Amino acid sequence: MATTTALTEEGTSKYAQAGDLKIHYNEAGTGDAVVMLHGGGPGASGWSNYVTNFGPFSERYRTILMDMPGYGKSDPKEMHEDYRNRINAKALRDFLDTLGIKKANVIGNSMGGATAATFAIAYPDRINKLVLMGAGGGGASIMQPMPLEGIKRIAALFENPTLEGFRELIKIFVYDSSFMTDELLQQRLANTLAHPEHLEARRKSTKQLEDLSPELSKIQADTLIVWGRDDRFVPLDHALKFLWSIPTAQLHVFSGCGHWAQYEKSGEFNPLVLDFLTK
Amino acid sequence: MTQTITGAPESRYAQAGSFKLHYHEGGSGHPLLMLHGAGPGANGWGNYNRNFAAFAAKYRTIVPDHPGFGQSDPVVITDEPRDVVHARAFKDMLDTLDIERTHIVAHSMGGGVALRFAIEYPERLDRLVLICPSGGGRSIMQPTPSEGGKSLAPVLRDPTVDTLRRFVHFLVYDPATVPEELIERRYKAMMDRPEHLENFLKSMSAPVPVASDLSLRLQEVQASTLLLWGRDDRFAPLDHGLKFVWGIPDARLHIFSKSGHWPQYEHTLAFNQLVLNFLAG
Repeated sequence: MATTTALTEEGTSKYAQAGDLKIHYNEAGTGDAVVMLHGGGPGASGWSNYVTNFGPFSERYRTILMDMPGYGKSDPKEMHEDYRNRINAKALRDFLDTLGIKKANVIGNSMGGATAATFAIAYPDRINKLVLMGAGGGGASIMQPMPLEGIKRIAALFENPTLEGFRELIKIFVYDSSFMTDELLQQRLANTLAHPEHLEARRKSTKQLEDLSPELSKIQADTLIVWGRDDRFVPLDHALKFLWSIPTAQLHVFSGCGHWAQYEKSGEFNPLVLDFLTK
Repeated sequence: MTQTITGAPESRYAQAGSFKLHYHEGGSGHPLLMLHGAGPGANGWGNYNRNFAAFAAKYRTIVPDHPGFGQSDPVVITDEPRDVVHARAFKDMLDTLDIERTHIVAHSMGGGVALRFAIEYPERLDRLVLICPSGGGRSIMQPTPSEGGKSLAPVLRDPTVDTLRRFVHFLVYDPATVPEELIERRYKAMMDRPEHLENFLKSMSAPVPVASDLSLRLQEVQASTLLLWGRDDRFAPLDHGLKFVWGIPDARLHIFSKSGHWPQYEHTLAFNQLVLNFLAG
């Protein structure tokens, strides 16, 4: 685990051009490529989303944490000409072109999951395996009123990012938020306020995620779906919808787990996904 | 197919209370009990022969026949639910074999028995793996009894290769994955002990349910639990998987697509790896 502790954000930080967007990413490891796509909350980035996974994956794969357009240190992006998931998927393809990666395993969480699924549908020859955690893009829930409480809190936070808002968000973001300290909350707020251009682009955007339900059966990649039983951002019935629609899928549900399975259950998540990618 | 299917290790017998139970054993290390499901001609080896070698490589793996199945003693269920009777028998078997604590991997009816075991004898159980277990009560998504469940009694009443084949084909997502030779082997096992069929049929009219509804007792399960399900299960409804993952305090649920009621047969390699990882903690 030596490499795990040695990896730092600064030491792995890089930039690449993806079409007209400058994309920031963190990279470590060698071998087949694994690209990890983060979720869409304010202040999110590849590093913050996958900090507990980056080390173990980089021991076996060329592991890339991509800051999505409009997030982290990547360029801001207003979403008008197409849905966010489609613009993101196209940016991923351009990004892989620049890096000279022909095929990648793609792992996506929430908004990143909707992006990963869209990428698998639009560019089937560019993907090996697909892993979706609490993925967006499932459309309406058949079990719960939408928007879910977590999505409502995210929207409020984009309008007015405050420490108190983050505290309320984190309480329902994960099943057990006792690990959360004021220091971590301050950091997340600082990450958000450091990029007012992202907040502004988000406010101005006229398009967000689309309903991918009718497209899911086109996914050819071998797919692992991972969900937190207690997810308050994307409903568990979407996991079943994805499972029934994607031809070669399996579903793993963690109990006592919210919207952040790769972080909350990293001890089980890492070997589960690594085995899936390797087999 | 790269999984290892070895021949069955020699038969052994252990006294378990009033039952003499037949079992196969292999490997060494921490004990692991593998409990098979019900159905005509079912027995431990027939259920787990694709998995045995992988588990015996790491555990002292014990695959018994339930009371009333295979080469174990017959039983007629009268006033106590079957899961209570069987769970006690396996506790007694552990006593005889001098095993204090064990992991349990259990399928279907065996899963209901293992749930009962987890509730009644928590001090004897380490980790629990339930493969589309019974014990979930009513489905909230499908009419009960299930299509597969309804195919059971016709075999018991009229045990032929044809009725058995129909039953076994309901077990899997793709009947083409079941060679005729497997049906014939199971038919032979079934006709070898016709009293088991008659006794099972008699037991179905006992004034106790075929499987207890343990929904309200799930929170009593202390063992760390892995649930495995086939998306296309026509015996145990998928919503029971959700019910269990909500009810058992420390649980995770893995669902295979294109899998029926027999994932350890249909997705052998992925099954073995998941379960071995889970047992290793």
